[in-house]
Amino acid sequence: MSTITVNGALFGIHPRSEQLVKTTRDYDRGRVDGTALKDAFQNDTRELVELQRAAGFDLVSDGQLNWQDFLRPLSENISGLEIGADLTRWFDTNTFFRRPRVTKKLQANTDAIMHAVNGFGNSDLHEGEERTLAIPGPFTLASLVEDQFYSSKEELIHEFAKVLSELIPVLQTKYSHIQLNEPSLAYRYGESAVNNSSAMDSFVSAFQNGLSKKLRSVALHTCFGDCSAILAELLRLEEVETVGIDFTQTPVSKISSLRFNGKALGVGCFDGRSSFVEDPTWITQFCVDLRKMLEPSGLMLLASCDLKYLPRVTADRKVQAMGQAKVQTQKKLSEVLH
Amino acid sequence: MTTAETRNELFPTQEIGSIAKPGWRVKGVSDEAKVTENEILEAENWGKQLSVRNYEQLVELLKKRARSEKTPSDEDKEAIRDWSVRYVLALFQSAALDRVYSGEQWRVEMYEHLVRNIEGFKLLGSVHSFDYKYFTKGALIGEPKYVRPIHLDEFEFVKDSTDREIKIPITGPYTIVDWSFNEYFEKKVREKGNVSFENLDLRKVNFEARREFILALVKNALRPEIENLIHHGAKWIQIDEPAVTTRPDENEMELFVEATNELTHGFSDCVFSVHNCFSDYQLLARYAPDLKQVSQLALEFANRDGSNLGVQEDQRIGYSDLRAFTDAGYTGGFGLGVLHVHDYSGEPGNGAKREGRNIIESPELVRDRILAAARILKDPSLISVNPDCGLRTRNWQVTYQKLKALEIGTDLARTQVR
Repeated sequence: MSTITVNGALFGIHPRSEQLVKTTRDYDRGRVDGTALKDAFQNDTRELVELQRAAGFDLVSDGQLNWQDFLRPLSENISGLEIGADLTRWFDTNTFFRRPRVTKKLQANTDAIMHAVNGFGNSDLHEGEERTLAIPGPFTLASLVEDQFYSSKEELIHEFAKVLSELIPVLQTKYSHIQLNEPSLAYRYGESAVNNSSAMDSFVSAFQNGLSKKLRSVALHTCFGDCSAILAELLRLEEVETVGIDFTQTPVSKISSLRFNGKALGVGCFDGRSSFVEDPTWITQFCVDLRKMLEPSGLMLLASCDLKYLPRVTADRKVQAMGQAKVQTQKKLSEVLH
Repeated sequence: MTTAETRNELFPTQEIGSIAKPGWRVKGVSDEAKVTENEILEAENWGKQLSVRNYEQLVELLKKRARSEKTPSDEDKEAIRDWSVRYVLALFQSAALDRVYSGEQWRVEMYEHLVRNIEGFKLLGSVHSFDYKYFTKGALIGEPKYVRPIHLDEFEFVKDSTDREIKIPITGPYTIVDWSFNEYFEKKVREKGNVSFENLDLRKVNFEARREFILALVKNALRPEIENLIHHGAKWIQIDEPAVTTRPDENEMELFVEATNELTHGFSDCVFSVHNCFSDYQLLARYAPDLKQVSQLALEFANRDGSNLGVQEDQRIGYSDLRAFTDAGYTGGFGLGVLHVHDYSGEPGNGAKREGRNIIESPELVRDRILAAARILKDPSLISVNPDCGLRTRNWQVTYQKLKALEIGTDLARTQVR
């Protein structure tokens, strides 16, 4: 009888604690200096890492607490991108990002990005742990910037894929597990991908030609939307180990005919936009049913999107519930499969 | 529908919402901070400049606070809050605004003020907005219930302090729901539903819970509040709905319309307007004709407009969205945003100047914006004139300059139309 690995991981930006919120506000108003701010970030990261360990996660995230928005550490350190003062709404949330403009050929300053994203500092890993980091994928980057340089979205997707191809090997010296977040693929029923098949083709070919050679242990998550229209295409991307689905947006019935064929399923079932904390027992049964239907090689419990849309206390409760669900699901599946 | 009397029949002017709380107002009621000499001087200067009646009493009170080692008494705090409303009203009066309110000086913030005063909500903590900015988000954890008047004291105070027409801004149900977590109804709907795994659609479940939330909020809390305000003489209520079009789905827009109609139906002695900003107006326009009791949409336009002078449509591109509303069949009025309210980083055109991070519109630019809108709408009587949104992100000096430009520019437009 086969077994199946069940894991859990944070995906993207975790909320800052109330203490850190206060310190960042104080810093913003000139009441504390940069050292105090850095210490506060490090303390918060340490606590978050311990929370993940207690939840039994093998993949450990620094929570990306210092990311001002999900594009910023990259967009501030890619030559060819300019960031204006204007704020743009992040999908249909009540949070905002600074939309970059593409003004010349893109070129990543990989060392600067590595420095900017490094929330772990010099802390060590425990045995059996791996570090994980979520970054925006090429389709989302190309969808969210204002392009004043390249001739088409297709070209831009390829250019961002090239940038990521250079960046990812550098990141992987510290973060062995890279998660590509591609909300633009699924947002509004994947309309920007479905209605623009050449952009989707560019995305796929960018993966096959550029990114694939650089990737190992990559998860691709499609939050903020129903991914059913593009899921079959994603499952054909050989290089991707895990494909994540936002189940708060994607109805089960719309993906029931698909099979994961050797890929792991990222079960985005912890609602990153609701303070209602999911019952681990309900999640366990949901995972058991999903495994039976989609036949993935493994399961990774995820939030539907980053947990940054929640206050910290609530997000931490979700992490604890995720840990409980991971244990229960592993146990239940062992029973079912034996 | 009732329309309250205004001083200017043509292009009446109005404020939209909050005005920055002066330093003396913030620190004057704080148990930790001390009012500084500069802040006292600021209170004195504005008191003189705006001819605030008996402002010397405020200055004395602030001086007393500055000297004292004790935390302010409740009486002092209340007095300082009252003064800040008087100052805002004097500021509005100096710009000859026709429709005024308190600048929301008594409110913590538009969301918190409401949810702190409705039973069923619990504030959970801070959520990241951008950079080092956050907002406090609450969750509905029980049936929403009206337990006390929320805006009545504020309204009564303004009523006693001004002879101008009063327009009360109230945060709308769609925004409250969109900015809150919905634990109570999500749990209820999940417990009620007996959906099989194969048919599980959490989006549907959450939407059903959202609809139950909004309708309960309207029925149990917001309608009683409006009824109470009208009973005490409110004639114009502005429903603030900045969250509308955040989720650009048909069912979400229909939910907004349903909630607004539920909120306003049957109140025949009061004018209702809806304020929305930084949104998708092409989308909003499609649903505007369905807002049965809404007489005015107060919208942001200056932010999306250029700053060169001119009244041609290609010179006033920010106002072209007005056409979407008329094309969709909306026949109500507009609160026309003619003043930018946020930071400005570009180089302004010949109709404005930049001061630090502010753009200061000239009266001529205000005039041209109004005239361009009047051309598109083909009916000047549909237009009231206002800033894009509350001016709370601008300091008082900038706010004063902007409101004066609004006053003079609107007069110029009146002259041309007449």
